[in-house]
Parts: sequence; structure tokens; C-alpha cells
Amino acid sequence: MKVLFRFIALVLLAVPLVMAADRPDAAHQIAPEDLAHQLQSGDAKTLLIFNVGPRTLYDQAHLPGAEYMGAASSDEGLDKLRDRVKALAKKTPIILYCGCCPWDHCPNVGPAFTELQQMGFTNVKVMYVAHNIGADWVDKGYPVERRK
Amino acid sequence: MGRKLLLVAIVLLIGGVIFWQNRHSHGPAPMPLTANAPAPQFAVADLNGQPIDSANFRGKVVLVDFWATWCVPCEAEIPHLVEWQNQHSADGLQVIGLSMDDTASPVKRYVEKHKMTYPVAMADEKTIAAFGGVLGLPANILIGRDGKLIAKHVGVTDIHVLQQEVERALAAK
Repeated sequence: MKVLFRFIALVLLAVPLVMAADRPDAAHQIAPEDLAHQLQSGDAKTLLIFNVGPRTLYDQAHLPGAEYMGAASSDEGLDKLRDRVKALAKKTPIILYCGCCPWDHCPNVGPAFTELQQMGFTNVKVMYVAHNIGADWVDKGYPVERRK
Repeated sequence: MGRKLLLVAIVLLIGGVIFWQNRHSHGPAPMPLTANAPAPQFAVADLNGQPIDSANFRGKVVLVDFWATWCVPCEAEIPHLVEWQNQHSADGLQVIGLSMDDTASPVKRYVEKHKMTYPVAMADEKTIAAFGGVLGLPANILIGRDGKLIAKHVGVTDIHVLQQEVERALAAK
């Protein structure tokens, strides 16, 4: 019986660790207001911004200059991301974002971030989108571009 | 004594996990809409090429669900939508799924696997625009029998809130 209780306790302890495994930690996050400020002040000119969410959201509204990679939860999206960054210096500042779903539920930012980390990129940040790109970016009046 | 402590620890851990999962969820976030405004008209083809035309749903309660196969909160909602469609079809409920996936093939697989009994189509640019844009998933739009908008929820929505709205709409004859 004791062994069973210990096993259950271990499993429960491991659950949050597994769920948090692919989420960038606070040091690798950037708040929407901070990124918006950088974009508006022109400090973000050297940044590469990659949208790793679905095309339908990107077409409606995306961050100025953001390049569409595709949903990083799919092989196609990750392949495109790998291909796009393969020739870049590992210190290149890169911002990833999605905004399809609340941060804890987004299936795209985690795999994209993990992939770039594994490729050796050292200056990658992920925009923390608490709810979705509509509520946390567009509705706040931050700059957007739409599909031309 | 030791066993009691372990049980308390397990309960606290479960509570902690639930809190961790929901710490950024703030319930439904309805988008602004004009109460009783006429619902958008839309016409799309479902995954089998059959037409879905909003004009054919007059007198029905219509629940439009913008979703995607990889969207975790959408996945949690869909079994409820299937259940409501099966349960209230004769009462005049029509659920419509509009997928925001980039391509149709994963959607077809998903629909089969999850036995989705209501019509599903790919959301096109025109339909998304007609609903005022969809910048978060899932997005649920409820339309009354009179063809007027009742509610629009974008993001993680309390399923009980949505269920109550659907039941109230169905009760209104």
C-alpha cells in the first residue's frame, strides 16, 4: 500500500513538471506591452519576429514585420522554421509568438522555442500571450499588419 | 498518521495542479456585439462539398464554433457540442463547426475520429470577416431562432455558461 501511495505522489509531483517542460521560462518571455513599445520606438528593427500559429489568424492581424512560419505543432510549421533559421547566426535576436489560445494551452510556442534552443539559438524570446492575440494585442491598439 | 499526511499532500498537489492549469484563465471573454443585431449571413461548403447556407437555418438556434484540430480548449468543448447536437436536434439546434486549420486533411481525420455529427467546413476569409474577425480560439457565436445574435465568446469559455445560453435560446419559441 505504501508503495502505491509513494507512486501516486511521485506521479502527481511529475505532472506539473511535464506540462511546463516546453514552456519558455520567464527569462525567455517578453510581455506584449514591452514588444509593442520596442516596435513603436523603432528599437526592434534588428529583431526577427516569427509567427508560429495558424494562417487564418496571421492573415487577419500580425505583428509588423512578422514572418509566417505556420503552426509549430505541425511538422510543416517546424520544417519551415528550421529552414528559415538554418543560415542565421546563433546569437540572432528572435521573437516567437502565436496567440491562438491562452498561454498554457498554446500548442505552438513550446515546440518552436524548444526547436530553436536545440539548434543552439541563444537569443530567443517568446511573446507571452495570456489569452489570445485579439485580446492581448489587437484590442490594446498595438500596431498590426494585415495580409496584403 | 503518515498515511494521512500523504493523503493531505496528494490533495494539495492536485489542487496545485488545477490552480497551475487555470492561473491565466479568466473565464469567458465575450467580444463586444450589438445585442439583438442581425446575425451575419454566410455560405460555405462542408468537408464533403455540401452547401451550408445560413439562410436555411431560419427558425433554428444556431451555434457557430470556430475551432482547430490542434486547439486544446476546442478539443475540450467538442464532445459537448456533439452531445448537444444529438440531444437537441429535434428541438431546433444546429451546431456548425468552422475550422481554422490551414488545410482540410487533418480536419477530415479529426471529424471522423471524434464522430462529429454536425456539419463542419473550413472557415474562409469572407466568413471570418462576416463574424467580425476571429482572433482567438475557440470562438462560439450563438444565434437565436429570430436570426439575431445572442452571444459571442472568444477564448476559453465556461461550458456551463454556454450550455445555459443554448438551453435558454432553445426555450424561446
